[in-house]
This record gives sequence, structure tokens and C-alpha cells, in this order.
Amino acid sequence: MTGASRAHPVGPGGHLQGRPAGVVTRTIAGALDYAVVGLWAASAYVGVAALSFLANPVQWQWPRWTFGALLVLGALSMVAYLTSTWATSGKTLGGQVMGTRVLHDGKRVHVARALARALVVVVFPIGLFWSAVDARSRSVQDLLTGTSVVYSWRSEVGNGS
Amino acid sequence: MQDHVVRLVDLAVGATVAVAAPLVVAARAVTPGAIRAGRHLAYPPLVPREIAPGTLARELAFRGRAVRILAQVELVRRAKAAVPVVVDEVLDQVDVTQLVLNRVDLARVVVTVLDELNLTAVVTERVDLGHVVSTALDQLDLTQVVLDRVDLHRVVTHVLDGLDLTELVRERVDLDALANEVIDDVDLPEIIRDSSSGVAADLVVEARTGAASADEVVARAVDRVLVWRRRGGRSQ
Repeated sequence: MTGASRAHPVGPGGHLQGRPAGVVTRTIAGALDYAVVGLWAASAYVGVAALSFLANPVQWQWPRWTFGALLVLGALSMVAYLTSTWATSGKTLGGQVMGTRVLHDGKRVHVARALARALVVVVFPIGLFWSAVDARSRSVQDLLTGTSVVYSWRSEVGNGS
Repeated sequence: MQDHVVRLVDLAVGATVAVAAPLVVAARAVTPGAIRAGRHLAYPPLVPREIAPGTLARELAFRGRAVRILAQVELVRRAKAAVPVVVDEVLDQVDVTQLVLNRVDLARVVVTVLDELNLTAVVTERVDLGHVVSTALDQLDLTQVVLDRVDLHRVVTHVLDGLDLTELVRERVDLDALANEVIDDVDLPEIIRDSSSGVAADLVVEARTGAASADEVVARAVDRVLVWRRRGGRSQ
């Protein structure tokens, strides 16, 4: 956190910038991310339905996807979404709203590490709640991949590299 | 004393008139005859004209006239030469200034002169006004004079009342350039980031700070439950 500990002098929550984000904030951000992926999956379903209607409007009916297929689609979407957002800005949409950023040693996360973290999150989502117990608010995925999540709704925090 | 002199003069004039009046009358009576007699005497009938007494008298008159003119010119020249000396001597004896002050109605003279003069034209033609004004301005502290003598508040109020400032600014100020300059000086991207779309941004900030407060509450609760964590000390 060395590079990210500089607090912004003014504005609400300025003193929090760069400090480890707590479990409530991260849970809300995670919920928003799940909602985003859920919306994406729903859009994909509707899109496929629309395409099938165009292909065969006479005998058209809603696509019948198995729960397993939906699960795989959601998991893959989640991994792609989390990896791409963490490896670029360090912020998912949920993180953008709640003002949290994923960092590694105070810097942006590399794509491989982001992929590993995304896999852990998808496989073991409740690992997030370990951040309520850990002294430095680290979740299971943080412990496994060496990352951290900090408050960062000021643009300069953790954005130097 | 003066009265006696005047009386004596009057007496002399009266006596002269008394004697001269009969003489004049007599002269008038005899003059035509005397003139004819004089002509006969000047040019006697049997005497040649060249040697007649009239011709001789005329030549003498010519000479006398020439001498008189010369003497007259010489006299005028000497008089002219003497004038400066005499005037100097006189002026040395007289206090002219005092004399003028005593004898001359200076106020009347000045008023008359001023009435006849077009002072504006004289000053415009004869005075280097630029030099006069610049010298006067050099010696004056105009700012102090204005501050002391002018009711600036009243002046400014009067001027502002007569001005349409908005219209004036529109006409005289390059608002585009000014706005661009201000925008260049302001870190607009930072302001836009900070203010990011008004009310929605405020709501987001509320959510973030609220969640952060909840984080703190949870952390304290966990601290109370987990003794080891409290001892180890939470990260700040």
C-alpha cells in the first residue's frame, strides 16, 4: 500500500483513499458485479432467442438451456469480465460504483494474476467473507493471489503505473 | 505769485493788441499800394532786370533758404542725438514706477486692454501650451488632487448609471478568448472527474462513505469477538 496511501486532502472519504476496503463495501461491489454478469447472461439468452426467431419464425419457441449450460455461461462470462477489468483499470463496474480497486503491491494487477484471481472468485465466491476476519481485510482470493482491494474513488490512488 | 505773472502777461497782451490793431488796419489800407510801390522799387523801369534790386533780393533769398535748410537738418540731428541723453537724465531723476502708480488708473487701463484683446487667440498663438501643461503636470500630484477634491463615489455611480455594462462587455471583450484562457488555466478534467455528473455523483459518494462506515462497524464488531485479531492490531 505504500504508493497508494496518500490521502486526498479534501472531499468526502478523502482520508480513506488507499486503505484496505472492508467486507461490506466489497460485498456490495461483488453483488453489483454479479448483477452485471446476470444481465449479460440474460441479454445473451434474449439475443439467442431473437436470432433463432429470425432463423425459424414459424416453429420458434424460447430456447431451452439447461441449468449446467447457464452456469457454465455465467462462470465463463464472470471470469472474462473480472480478468479484463482487473487487468486494465483494476476496477470492475461494482468497484467503480463503490470506489474500490484491486492492486498487487500497490500497482495494477497483471493479466495472469487477474485471471487466477477471477478463477478463485468464481470457484469459491464465499472466500470474500474472509476479509471480515483478516486483520488486513484480505479475502481468500487476495491471500491466494497476493492482491489487495483498497478504497480508491480518487483517480490518483493506485493509478500511477 | 503765479497770479501776478498771469496779470502781467495779460497786461502785455492787452497793450500789444491796443497798439497793433490800428497798425493792422493801416497796413491793410496801404498794403496794395505798398506792394505796387515795392514792385516798382524792385524792378525800376530803366534798370536792366539782371541787376535790378528784386533779382538780387531773390538770389539772396535762395542762399538764405539753402543755409536755413542745412541749419535745420543739423539742428534736427543734434536734437535727436540729445534726446536719449536727456531722457536718460530725466528718467534717472524720476521714479517712473511710483509716478505711474500715483498718476495712472491702472485698473481702467488693464480693463480697457483686456476688452480690446482676444486673450484666447493671443495665448493660443504665443504660448507653448504643451510645454506649460506638461510642466504643470510634472509639479502636480494629480492622484492626490483627485482624491482630495473629487467625489469619486458620485462620479463612478453617475458613470455606471449611464452605462449598459453588459452591452459594453459584449462589444469590447473577446469573450471567447477570455473563456478559453480561463479554461486553459483551470484543470477542467480534474474538476469534471471530481464533480462527475452532479446529483448521481453525490449519491455514489454517499453510498461509498456509507459502506465504508459499515465496514468500520463490522471491523469493530469482529474485533470484539476475535481477541487475537484485536491483539494483533488491524491494518489502518
